[in-house]
Amino acid sequence: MDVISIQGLSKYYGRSRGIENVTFSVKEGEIFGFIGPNGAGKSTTIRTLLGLLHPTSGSATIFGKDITLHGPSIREHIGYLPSEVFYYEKMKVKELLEYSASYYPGDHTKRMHELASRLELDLHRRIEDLSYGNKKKVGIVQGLLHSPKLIILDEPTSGLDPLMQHTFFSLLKEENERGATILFSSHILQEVQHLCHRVAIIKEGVIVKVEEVASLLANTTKKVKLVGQLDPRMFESLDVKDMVVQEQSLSFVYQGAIEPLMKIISECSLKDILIEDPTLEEIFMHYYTRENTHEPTAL
Amino acid sequence: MNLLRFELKRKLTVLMWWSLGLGSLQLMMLSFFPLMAENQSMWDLILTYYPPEMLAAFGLANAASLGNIEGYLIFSFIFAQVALAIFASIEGFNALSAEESDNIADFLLTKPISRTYVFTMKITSAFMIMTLLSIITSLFTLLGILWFASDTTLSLSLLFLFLSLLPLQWLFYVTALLISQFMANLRSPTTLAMGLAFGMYFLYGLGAAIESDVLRYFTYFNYIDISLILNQEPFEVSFIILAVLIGLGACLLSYQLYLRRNIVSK
Repeated sequence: MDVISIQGLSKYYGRSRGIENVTFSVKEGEIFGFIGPNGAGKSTTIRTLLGLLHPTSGSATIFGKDITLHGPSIREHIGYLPSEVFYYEKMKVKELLEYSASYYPGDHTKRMHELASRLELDLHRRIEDLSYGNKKKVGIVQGLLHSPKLIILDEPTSGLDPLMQHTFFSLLKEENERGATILFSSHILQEVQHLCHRVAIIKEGVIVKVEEVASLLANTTKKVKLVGQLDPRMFESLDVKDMVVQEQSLSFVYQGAIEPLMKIISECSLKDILIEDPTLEEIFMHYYTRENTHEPTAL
Repeated sequence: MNLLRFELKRKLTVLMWWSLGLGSLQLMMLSFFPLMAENQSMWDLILTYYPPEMLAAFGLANAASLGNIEGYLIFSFIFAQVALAIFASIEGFNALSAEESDNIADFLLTKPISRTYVFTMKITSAFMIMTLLSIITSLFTLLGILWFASDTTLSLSLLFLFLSLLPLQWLFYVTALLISQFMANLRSPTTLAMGLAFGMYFLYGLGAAIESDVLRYFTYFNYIDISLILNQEPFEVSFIILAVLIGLGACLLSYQLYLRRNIVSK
């Protein structure tokens, strides 16, 4: 079952493009990464899903309900952490969290204390006295305290130190194991690679790829490094890119079936060989270095 | 009711300071009344030397005498009216845009509540606070009259004067509310509120001084004219109709604009 289903969603700010014809879905129980640089349209997509922005065209459903018609009932089951956190500066952390919790049915006091303890957050300080990292912790607690079915995170780790990031990812994994679906927007690809099951890559407001992280990493391309006496012309018949020829080595990026590559390699006189998957960052950069097109191609 | 309770709690300190300020203003203004009453003939004589346009600009064209409390209030109560107009305008400018300006709108509007609920609670809380401030201002004025003009017979016009405070505030509130919906980012609501209130007061004075029928329609101080109230003269029907239309229309239009508003990230 799809928790989020987006169909041809577009948002324009006057004549400026926000997002164009965005289509993807997030399955129940999935951790879905949403990657792209600043200004690509990640936040616009998320804010439209949350009802902060009105779509120009297209539609989206969350829990099977239309986002424009059933916003309040949808948001009852959503926990949201924005990229920049701002709260009522004069309030104490506890007051703010209790106020936030009061919008959701049930008593969330125990969970609030539990999360604050895990994140080492002092509940008795005023918001205005908190560092940015601590405000971010307040954001995490207020986003998770009502045990939401869907957690939407918009670049959540900025401002958190590495130890807190680790605790935060542990919390997310626990929430996911509990059954929560997570939409995780980020431009830090390592954390997406580490955490997410699937990703959507967005470029200039357009989705260029939706793929499982594992297959995105494994299937498309290989980075090859060969050491020995080698003739680069042997590989001319293959789809190779970024070839670097050195005196005793040859490296390139290969796209295609593995057999033809292995056949040619077997004919070489090799001292060493290294074949590896590209990192998500390299895949991501590939989509962003292609110019004047939104058509995805393999590396 | 979470939001209503929250809004009222936030406004309570502001209400307290405004009450103190307005209460002090009323007591201070009325403390001069015995001096006026004592030298009534002298003050009335002085006023005859002023040009009629100037008297009109200060709302004194129709004041029978500064030596009776109604006449004195026509002169002095306008300051309370302007102060209340500033308060209501600040409330109006802040109501829907304060959270947006402070980037807190994300926090509120991602909660399981509709914008209709937010709008309703915001204007309900403002209405309640403005009602309280009107009552407090009225009580201080009454206290001042009883204190400094103890031999005055309280007339029904005073009650009407007090009852006029809330409609006046409402007009300024909804006007500011509507203007705020046309502004992408509202950084200085107090400055804008003072501009709106003093601007309309200036038009009130100017309209009376030059006897312009057109200008009178551009200032709410003419819609709720204290000299008419205190002299127990009837309001003009056109002003009543306009006040009702603006009071309801600006509110409904603000609501529609708020429903369609995009909350962009900063």
